[in-house]
Amino acid sequence: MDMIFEVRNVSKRFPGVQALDSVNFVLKKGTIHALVGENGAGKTTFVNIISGIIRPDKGDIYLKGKKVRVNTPAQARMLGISLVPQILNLCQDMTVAENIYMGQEQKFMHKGLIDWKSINISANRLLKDELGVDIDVTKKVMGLTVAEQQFVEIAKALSFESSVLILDEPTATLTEPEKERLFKVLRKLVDKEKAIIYISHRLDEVFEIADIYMVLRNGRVVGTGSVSDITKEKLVTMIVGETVKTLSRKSLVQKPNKKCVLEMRNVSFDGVRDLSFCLREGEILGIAGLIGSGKSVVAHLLFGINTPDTGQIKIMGEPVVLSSPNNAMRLGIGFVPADRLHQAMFLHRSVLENITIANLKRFKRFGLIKVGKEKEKAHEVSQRLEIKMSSIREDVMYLSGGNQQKVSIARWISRTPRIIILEEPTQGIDVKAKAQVREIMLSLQEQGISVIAISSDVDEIISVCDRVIVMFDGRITSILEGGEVIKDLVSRAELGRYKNVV
Amino acid sequence: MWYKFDLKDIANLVRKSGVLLALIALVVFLSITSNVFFTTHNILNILRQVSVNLILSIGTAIVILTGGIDVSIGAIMAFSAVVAASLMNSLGILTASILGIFIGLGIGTMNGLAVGVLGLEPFVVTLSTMLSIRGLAYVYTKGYPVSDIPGNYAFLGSGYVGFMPLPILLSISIFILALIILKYTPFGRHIYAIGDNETAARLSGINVKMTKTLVYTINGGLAAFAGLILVSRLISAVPTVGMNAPFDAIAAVVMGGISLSGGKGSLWGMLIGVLLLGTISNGLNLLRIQSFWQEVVRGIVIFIAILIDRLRVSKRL
Ligand SMILES: Nc1ncnc2c1ncn2[C@@H]1O[C@H](COP(=O)(O)OP(=O)(O)OP(=O)(O)O)[C@@H](O)[C@H]1O
Ligand SMILES: [Mg+2]
Repeated sequence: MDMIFEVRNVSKRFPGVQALDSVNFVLKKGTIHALVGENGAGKTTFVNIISGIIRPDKGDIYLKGKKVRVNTPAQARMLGISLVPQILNLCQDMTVAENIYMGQEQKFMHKGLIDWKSINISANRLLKDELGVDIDVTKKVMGLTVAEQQFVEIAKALSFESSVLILDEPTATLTEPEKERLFKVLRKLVDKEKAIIYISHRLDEVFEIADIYMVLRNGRVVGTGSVSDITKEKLVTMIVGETVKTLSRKSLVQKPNKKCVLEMRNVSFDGVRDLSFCLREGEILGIAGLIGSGKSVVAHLLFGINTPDTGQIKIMGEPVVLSSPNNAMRLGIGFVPADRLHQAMFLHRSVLENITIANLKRFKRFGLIKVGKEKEKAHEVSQRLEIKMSSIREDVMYLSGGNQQKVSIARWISRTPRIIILEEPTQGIDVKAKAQVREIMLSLQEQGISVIAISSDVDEIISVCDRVIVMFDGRITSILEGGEVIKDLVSRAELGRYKNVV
Repeated sequence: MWYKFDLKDIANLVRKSGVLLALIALVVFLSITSNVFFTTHNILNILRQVSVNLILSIGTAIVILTGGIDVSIGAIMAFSAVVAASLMNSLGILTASILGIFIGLGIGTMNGLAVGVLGLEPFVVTLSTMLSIRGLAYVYTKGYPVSDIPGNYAFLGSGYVGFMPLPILLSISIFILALIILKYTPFGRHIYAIGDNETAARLSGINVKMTKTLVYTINGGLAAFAGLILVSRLISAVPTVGMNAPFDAIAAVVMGGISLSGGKGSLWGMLIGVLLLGTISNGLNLLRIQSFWQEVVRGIVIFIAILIDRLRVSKRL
C-alpha cells in the first residue's frame, strides 16, 4: 500500500490551550484511518488544518511525497481533500441540491446558464441511490433535521469525488441502519483506492470499519496502530487515560409510577399521524426511529415549537395547548434540542451565560442577577459534566463540538423541570461523558422527573430507558417494554420490519 | 464584584479599539493646534453637546443588539418635541414633557409590535414610521417652529447642578442604568441572546416578541427625552430637528464595535464612538472649518475609524 498523504510535526495553539502538539500522521491509499480521543483532544483542529480551514503554527503537509500548502478549503479541494465537518454549516436558505453542488455549478452549465434540473437530478441520485435517504432535494435546508443535514453534508463531500475524504463525527445523530448505508458507501470508496479519515466517539464503529486507529489526548498522539491489534477496553483506556465502565443494561431501580404526567392522544401534525402515548411519572421513555420517522417532530410538539393539527396533549391529566416554548417551560417541560448550532448555542456568549440563560429567574434578587450565585451554579454543572474550557467566561464558539453539547445539556439540568426531553443528548460526546449523561438521566429519574430520550444510539436507549417507542414513517409502530428492549428488536422496528401491537 | 466584568470590557476596548485610538489621536492633535480645546470649559461643552447623541445611541445600541435597527428616532424626537413644546403653556412644563415622552413610547411600541409580533423587517418598518411621523410633525406645526416656550424650561438643557451641566448628568445616568440593565438583568441577557441566535433564544424560553417590542418602546421613549433636551437648549421646537439623528447614533454604535447583525459588543465602545463624533464637531468648529466641509470630514473620520478597527481585528495592524 502506498501512502498518499503525510503530516509532519503539526502544532497549533489557541489562547489558553495547546490544541495540537507535534502530531505526525500517515495516510495510505485504500484505508480507513480512525481518529479518536476525548472531547477537546484536538481531532477537529487536526482535520481542519488538513482541509485548509485553519492554519497550523508549525508543521508540513505532504501529498504523494510532495510538500503542499493548504491555506484555504478551496485549495484543499483542488488537492483532492474534502471534509464533512462536525459543525454542519449548510446555507439554511438554499435548497438541498444547491448546497450539495455549491461552487461546482460550472459542471452543470448548459448554453451559458446553470441547468438546475440536472443539478437536482444529480443531487437526488447521490442522496437516494448512493446513500439511501429520502430527502426532497428541492427543499430548503432550513427545517431539515440534523440527521438529514448530516446526510446533505456527506453528499456534498462525496460530490467532489476526492481522493481523501474526511468525516468528522458523521454518525453522531445517525441510527444503526443509516450508519450501515454510509459504511457501504465508504467501503466502495476504499475499493476504489481512496483514503478516508474517520472521527467518531462510537468505538464499535471504529472496530467495524477502520483499519488504523490514532488516539489523541490533549493534542498529543498517545497511540496508533492497526485496529486488529487492539481491544475495545484497551482503546477506551488509551482515550481517557484511565479505565471506565462501559454501558451495560440498566437494572430497574424502581417501577415507575403508573400515573401519566404527559399524554398524547391521536395527535397529527405534518407527516406524523395519530400519535398516542403516555409518559409516566419518573420514567425514562425512549423514542427511536429512522430519518423521516417523525421522532423529532414529537419533541417539537411537546415543547410548543409546533402545535398539533388535530389531537390532544394532556399534562397531569389536564388538556393543554402548548403554544410556545415559553409556555411549555411554564408547564414544567425542558428541551435539549438535537440541532445544537441553530437551536441551542449562543456562540458569541460565554459558557456561563449559555448555561444560565434559561434559568435566570433563580438568581434574581430585586430585579438584578446575583452574579456570584450564578457563577457558582454554572461552575458546579460544568464541573459535573467536565466541560473543557479555558475559563467560564470563554465564548462558547471556541469550545470543541462535544463540549458545546455538554453546555447544551448543562443548561437544562441546572433547571430541574418536571419533564425533560433530550434529543440526541450524547451526540458528539466522549465515552466518559456518555456515562455521565446516563448517570444524570438516572438521577433525574430518582428525583421523580420524567425523561423522554430521543436517540439514534440504540445502546444508549437500551441502557437507560424503561420503555421505548419506535416510530416508522410518522407513526408509532411499537412500544417495547422492559425485557423486550433489546438491540435487535429496536433495530428491526426502526426499519419497520417488526410490529408490535400497540 | 460587578465592576470586574466591565473592567474586562474596558481592557478589551483599550487593546482592540481603533476608535479609541482615533479619539486619543484627535484629542492630542487638537490640544496642540488649539489652545482653547483642552480646557474644562470646552470639555464640558463637548460633553453637553454629545449628551443628546449619547441618549439616542443607547437606545439605538439596544435595538441593534437584538439584531434590529431603528431609523425613526429623529422623527420621533421632532414630533414629540413639537407637541410637548406647543402644550407647555397650557398644560404646564411637567405635564407636557411627560406627554411628549409618552408619545415617544407609544410610537416606539408601534415599531416594536410591527417588528416583534408581526415579524416585519425592522428597517422598512422604522423607515415608514420615520416618513409618516416626520410628516405629522410638519402637519402639526404647519412647518413653523414652536417658539412660544416658557423661559424656565431652558433649565433642562442649559441648567447646572453644581458645576455640572444637567444634560451631562442625565445622559450619564441613563448610560449607567443601561449598563446595569444589559449586564445584570434577565432582560439585558435576553437582548444579547436574541441578537446572537433568535431560535435558540425562543427555545430557551425567552419571550422574544415581548423583548423585541420593549426594546423599540424604550428607544422611542429615549428619543422623545432627547428631543425634549434639545428643545430646551434651543428654546424652540422645529419640525426638522434630528434629521441626522438616527445616522449619528448608528455611526456611534457601529464604531463602538457593536455588530449590526446583533448580539455582540458593549456600550463602552459606543461611548467612545459618541465622544469621537462630538470631538470632531467641536474640533472642526475650533479650527473654523466651514460647515459644509465639516460634513465631509466627519464622513471620512468615521470611515477611517472603522477601517482601523477592522485591520486590528484581522491582525494586520
Ligand atoms: N478557535 C478556537 N479558539 C480557541 N480555542 C479553540 C478553538 N478551536 C478549538 N479550540 C480548543 O482546542 C481544543 C481542541 O478542540 P477540537 O475541536 O479540536 O477538539 P475535538 O477533539 O474535535 O473535540 P470533540 O470531540 O468535542 O469534537 C479544545 O480545548 C478547544 O476548546
Ligand atoms: Mg470535534
